[in-house]
Parts: sequence; structure tokens; C-alpha cells
Amino acid sequence: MNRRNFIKNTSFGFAAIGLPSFPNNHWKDLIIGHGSHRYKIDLNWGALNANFYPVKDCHEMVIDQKGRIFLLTNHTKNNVLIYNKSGQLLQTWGTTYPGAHGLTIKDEGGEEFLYITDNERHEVIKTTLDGREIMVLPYPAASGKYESATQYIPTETAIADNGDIYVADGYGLQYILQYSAKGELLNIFGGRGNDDKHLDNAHGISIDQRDPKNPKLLVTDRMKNQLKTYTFEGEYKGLTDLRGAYICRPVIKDDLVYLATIWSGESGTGKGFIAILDKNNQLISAPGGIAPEYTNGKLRRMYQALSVFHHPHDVCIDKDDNLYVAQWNSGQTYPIKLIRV
Amino acid sequence: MRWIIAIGWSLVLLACHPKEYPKLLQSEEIALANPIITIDSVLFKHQATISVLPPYAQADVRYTTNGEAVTKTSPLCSNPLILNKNTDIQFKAFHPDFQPSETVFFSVRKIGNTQFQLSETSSQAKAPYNAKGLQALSNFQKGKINFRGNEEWLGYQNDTIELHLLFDEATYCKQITLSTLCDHNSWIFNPVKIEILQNDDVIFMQKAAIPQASQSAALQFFDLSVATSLKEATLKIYMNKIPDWHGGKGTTPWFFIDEIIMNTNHEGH
Repeated sequence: MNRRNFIKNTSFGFAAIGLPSFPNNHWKDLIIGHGSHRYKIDLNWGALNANFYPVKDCHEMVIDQKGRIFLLTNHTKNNVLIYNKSGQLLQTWGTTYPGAHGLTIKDEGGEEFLYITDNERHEVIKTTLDGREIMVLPYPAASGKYESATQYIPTETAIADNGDIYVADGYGLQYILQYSAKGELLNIFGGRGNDDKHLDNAHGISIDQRDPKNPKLLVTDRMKNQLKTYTFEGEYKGLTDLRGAYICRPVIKDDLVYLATIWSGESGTGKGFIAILDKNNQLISAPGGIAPEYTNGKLRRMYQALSVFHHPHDVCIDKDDNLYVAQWNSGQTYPIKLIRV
Repeated sequence: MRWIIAIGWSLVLLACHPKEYPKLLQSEEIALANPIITIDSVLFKHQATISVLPPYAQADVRYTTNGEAVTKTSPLCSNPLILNKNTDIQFKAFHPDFQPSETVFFSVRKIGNTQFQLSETSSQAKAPYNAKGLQALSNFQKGKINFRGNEEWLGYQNDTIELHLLFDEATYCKQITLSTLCDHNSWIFNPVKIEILQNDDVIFMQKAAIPQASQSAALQFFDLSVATSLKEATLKIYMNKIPDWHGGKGTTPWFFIDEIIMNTNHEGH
């Protein structure tokens, strides 16, 4: 029984046996988050008839310039589902991406394109917004780092303004690969190791242009609960510790970084929440999580506070700063909308 | 006339009833997350200190140590909580605006100084879950619940696992405790039977039910009552095939163990 039906049926039950019904002010909308970033929750925003539009894991979401919201799932009946902001389904496409995982959108000279990382095909695929394939980047044999395609399990892309494509091999050998817009391999950095410049589950990557004079790459080191910074040439520049937050990918809007946090707590045994960082990468709000607290500049370990989310995997932000949350391994549930209050 | 009364009464009831259920998620529909529990040492010589924090402001954390379910009237948890004997403890968080949290189970065990040697007789731990070898089972270091990359665990994938214990001298042993991991999502299951043999005689046997549904990952202790003097003994651990409800049905599950603890105390638990 879903939430609406539960409430509907329960209410009918009360009426049928003649119990007094609740006054309208009985209802108390749940508000999650902290400080300036607090949200009400529409659990049913993206709900669809699973017989017609099934999902497995809802991995990532992006929004285009028309305000349409693209969801990527690894269900090959419809890998891409396109919603409007009200949660109405506009279009679906895609049947050939069994490992659909990462979804990035980029305006390239007035036309927007999608970049899909498929961790079963071990490829990155560039498409138009309606699903026409433009380019496929296979596993980077020429890098000399990989013995076979199966070692390469890309999770995310970020596209620079010059067209360079950065691919995070987050479930593979942990390298960041830089390609030209034409798909020529230019550089490879990161990888496994014990130094700060190395990565352990390099799950997400994005282009950080919040400081226009100093644009850089942000990479999530998920198992270390760290957000790391590199130059576009791959030089490691620093990290932000987010203890207890198993962050998936950084999504930047205005001065803030939003990160779905798939697990939380000691050893990642807790369920997830959403992390929102300010322009200095300080955690200012954790919808679904405990209140962020810093002592001597160190963030206390983060945990889930309320069981709103199971495994948040990505967050998408609209122009009104509402959030759309896609979840991995959450029982084939559809995306949730968080309405900013 | 009866119909008119019935319709009228229905209209009265409908008029009292809210016209719409709320579109947005309500506080009372959501459960608290689990209380935040941190233990300085699950295996301790003198005492274990447990830090207990509620997951949400003004939530209460309550607990029991007698095996009964935690309720709104169970004792409130102090912070920290000090334990100085073997204890199985359950925690749960409550708040008037939300559903209660799930129950969180923890166990602590007191360790002694008894030395013994261990050997594998019919099965060996499999890589990569054999990094430290058998010394991992008597170094008083607990493995983590997130077992991957944690070298304290030995992982076996056999229908039967046998571990031979040899003491320096005959030693009174009240209890032998096996410290294990159960994580069905990772195909790690509990044994269905454990025996202790001395000179091929079974001196202890404990059976467990086959799980009917998946359980969350949990650190566990199996307390085996021996209450006899031992110079040597064999632990025989039996695994069933994975049940039909699991994706790995019909295959041999993993058994994970990180410590064997001797309780040589003649006193109570």
C-alpha cells in the first residue's frame, strides 16, 4: 500500500465507524534541512505506473534549459525518463544502457547534449537530448593503465567549456581521464594509492566555476568521505573532509554544492541524506541528516536523522532551488521532490 | 426512511472529514533514524564505554539488557553508558512527532588472558578474507561491520568449518564465544549448528533456525557454554546452503569470524 492509499484508507476507516475525524490542522508537513536550506517533501513527485515505465536504480538526474528533468535508470525498457517540473512524464527513450549510471548535460554552442556513463558497457556515450548517439568513448586501452575493458567502470563525466571530457572511473581503477571534445585521450590522473591525490571510489566529478578566476575540478572520494580539488591539468589542490558522508557527485548551482550522500555514519552503515555546502565548502544544511556542527574547523561525523531517504544517489536543482532526488537500491522507487521553504 | 437517514448520516460524516489528504510528507509518517551508538571497545578487560546520542533533537533513547523489546517506558539511556560484564543491549529512539527508530542491537564481551593455539583442520579461510591468518582470531581486535578491506575477518566458504584449539595446560572453560558477522546482502550467513568436540566426543551442541527473510548486517556473538576443563577441543561449524528467498539460493554461504574468546571465570555471566 503506498502512502496516499494508506492515508486515504485509514481516513475512510475512521469515517465508516463514526469516529471523529481529524481537524485539518492535525496534519504537520515534515520539514527537513537546516538554516537557510529547508524543505518539504513530495514523495510522489515522480511516481509512475511501473508496468509501463519501470525503473531499477534511479541513478542520476539533470535539468535542461527548458526546465525539463531527465532521469537516468539502468532499466533498459526506458533508460531515460523526461519529466516536467510537476512530475508529469513527457517522454522516454533508451534501451541499450544496462549499466546506465552517470548523466551529465552540457550546452555546446547553443545545443545541449547528454553524456551517459555505462558501467556494464564500460563506455561513455554522448547523445542528443532525444537520444541520438553522437559519440562513444570506449575503454581507454591507449592509456596503458588497463589490461581489459572490465577494469574500466566509469561512473561520471564532467564537460569543460573548451569541450574537454573528464571521466571518473569510480568503480574501476579510480583514474580521472581527460579527453578532447573529439574523444582523444589527453591525460590520466588520480588512481588508487595512499596519498591525498589518490582516490577510493571516485564516484562523481564536476566543473567548479564558482570562482571565475580559478575554475577547477571537484571529485568525490566517496569511501574517504572527501571532496577533492584538482586543476584541469590533473594537479591535486586540496580536499574537504565530510566525515560520515558518502558523497556521490557534486552538483553546483550558484555558490552552493549539493551532494547526494548514499550512506552515512561510522563505516557507512547508516542510510543517506543530502549535503549542501556553501561557497567555502562548509556543510550548511543536511536534509535528512543530523545538524552539521563544526568544532575547531572539523565537522562532526554525519549520520541520518530521519528515515526519509534510503540511498540517495543524485540531486538535481531547479531554478527555484527545489531539489529532485534519485535513489539507488531503494525498491524501484521514483524520484522525490524537496520543495524549498 | 431508513435510506434517507443513512444518506444523511453519511453526509454528516463526510462534512466532518478533511476534504483532502495532504500532498506532502507528514512528520508522523516518518521514523527516526537509529540512535547513534559508539563503543570504545566491544571486547574489554575492565569496562566498555558506550556513547549514546539521539538521531534528532529532543528524541529519547531507551534501552533494555534483558532481551525484551524496547518500549516508550524502557529505561532512558544515560550518556555515556558504562558496562563491566558481558551484555547484550538493545537501543531505540522515540520522539512524539515521529515513528520510533528501528531497534539497534549491541553486545560487549569481557576478555581474559587465556592463551591457546589454533589450527584449521579441514577448511581454510579464503582470500581476500584471510589476510592475518588464524592469529586474527585471538588478538582481541574486532572486525568492522563494513568488512571489505578489514583484515580482522577470516572468511570461509565451506559446508563445514573445523578449528582446533590447543591450550598450554588443562584450563577450566566456562564459555567459548565466537565473534562473527552476519550480512545476508553480502552472502554471509550464520551457522545452523555449532559443536564442540573433545576427543571426538561432542560436549556441546547448539542449533540455529534457518532465516526466513533477509536481515540487516550485524556483528554477533555466539556464546557456547562449556563449563569443563579443556586441554584441547575442536570447534565444528556447520553451514546450510543459502535459502530459496536469497539471490544466491542453493550455494554455500560465507562464514565470517574475527575472534574466539575464552571465558575462564568460575563466577557468573
